[in-house]
Amino acid sequence: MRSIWLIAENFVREQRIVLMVFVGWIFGFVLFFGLFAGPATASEYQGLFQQQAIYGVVYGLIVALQTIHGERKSRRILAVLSKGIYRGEYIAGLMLGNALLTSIYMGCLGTVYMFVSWKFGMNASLWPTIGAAWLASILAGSIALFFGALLHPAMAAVGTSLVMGTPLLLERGLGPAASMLVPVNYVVKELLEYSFPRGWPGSWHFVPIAMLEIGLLWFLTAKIFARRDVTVAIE
Amino acid sequence: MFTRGSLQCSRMDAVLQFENLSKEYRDFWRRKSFRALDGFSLEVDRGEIFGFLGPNGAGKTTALHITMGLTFASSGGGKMLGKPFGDARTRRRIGFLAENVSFYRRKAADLIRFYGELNGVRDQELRSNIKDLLEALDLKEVGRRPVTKFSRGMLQKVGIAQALVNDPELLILDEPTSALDPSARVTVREILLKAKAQGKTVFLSSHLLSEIELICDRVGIIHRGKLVRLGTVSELLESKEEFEILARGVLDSLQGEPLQDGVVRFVVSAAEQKPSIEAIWSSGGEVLSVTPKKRSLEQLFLSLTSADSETDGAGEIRR
Repeated sequence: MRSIWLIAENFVREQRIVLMVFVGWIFGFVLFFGLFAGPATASEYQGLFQQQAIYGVVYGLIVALQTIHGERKSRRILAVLSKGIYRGEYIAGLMLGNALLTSIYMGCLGTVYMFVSWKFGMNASLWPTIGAAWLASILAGSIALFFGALLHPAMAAVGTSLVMGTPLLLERGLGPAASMLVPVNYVVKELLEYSFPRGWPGSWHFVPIAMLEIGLLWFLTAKIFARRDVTVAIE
Repeated sequence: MFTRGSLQCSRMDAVLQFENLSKEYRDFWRRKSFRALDGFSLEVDRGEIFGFLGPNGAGKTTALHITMGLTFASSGGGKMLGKPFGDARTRRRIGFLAENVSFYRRKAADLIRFYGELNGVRDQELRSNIKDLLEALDLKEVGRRPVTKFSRGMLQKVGIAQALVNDPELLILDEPTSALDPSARVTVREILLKAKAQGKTVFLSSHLLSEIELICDRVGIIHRGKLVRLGTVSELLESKEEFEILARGVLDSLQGEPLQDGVVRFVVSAAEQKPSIEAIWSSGGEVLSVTPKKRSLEQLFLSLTSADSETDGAGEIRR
């Protein structure tokens, strides 16, 4: 467990600049709206929150897509995987790191909009929605990491899009329940329906499905990555 | 025990065993392939410093990466400290330094701590090891500085420190002295000799043949994925085909290389040794010494790895 935590902590550390940019964007946008864009309304802030929550879901995905490729290309992976750790621990560390990264982002998002809702005198039920977006972000990141462990980031992006997009196609034949197959879609759709006073509009049935899929993706990624060469012929 | 070519290897206390290892790299479409290792076999004994030589592309790095489980063999296998290559728990007892090492953006001491902890070293032992290594490698003053500000040589020192932080039984080092200045090279050499004195094993890949000559007990030369020479440094440097005869008072008609004080040097093949000595005697000369001709590791290396010697090297290992 210690090695998983070390890899996760290191992952967050390595992503700190991008994280600061994203968090700065949350604060900056809200400040900009509040200070310079005239008297912003609650519905404008609500639109901004929806946008930033969806970006949070995508953020986990984008970071995860290129993690392993970047580590291999920079050759930093050699010093890590030559230590006494299993490949499964390495993957678990990256997944935990991605979860920590998005939890910082989502935590900042929730804190900023708690202040905004207080300013407008609303009792906005923010945190369950933030939690749903966070879980969706971890799942999206896990799908991206799975493909990123096997393919070049560009190909991994195609694979991830196909997996996340298939339920949307199936919805036409099977109805809205199909979006639960990969619940990232479901959460994004519900985020678009979100309003400050109403709170999380969807059901919570996606939670066990998402958690099961995250566990399954860790298992599959670890199994496949355990037989992958992490170096190429450099000579 | 395994057999390869004319050499039969059976070493009782091997810490590293490559057994008929082959590795083929293929491109994405599996059309083109490159064979980096081709039936490579070798055993490294406990407590020795083993020099692993070969030209670029010979398969040295691939062999090292297979031992660490970073790359997987296409066929064959091997053991490290008695466990199959790539065993995660065994790696805790190994110190590994990759070629062209690259690190995370951290302070040097933090980085060494991170790698030490990944190898299961904790608390007081870890603190003490880091302190000792920073001192030994002359990094104490810069230990709190981020490695992004380091020169290539300083990074290499951090790489050596991270390989040693777990006090390993076996050190596997790929070009450890590349980018180091002469004094740092001496320091690293001393560290490796100290490790040997403590009973540790060092498996060292390097292009610096003078380094290898200085500290290695045995040397293996790999060319095109095959082991082409194996032996102690003195065995390899002694030629069994050519002899050097030093003589005095010989006639000018005998073609030799004049040295000082009337001493003449003759370099002759093994077959010509006896007739040459008889010719010196019959001309009234005195034979001072007859020794196998010594050559440098560089000469041996070049003779083995040049294109002409391909048939001489591949397929048969000579010692």
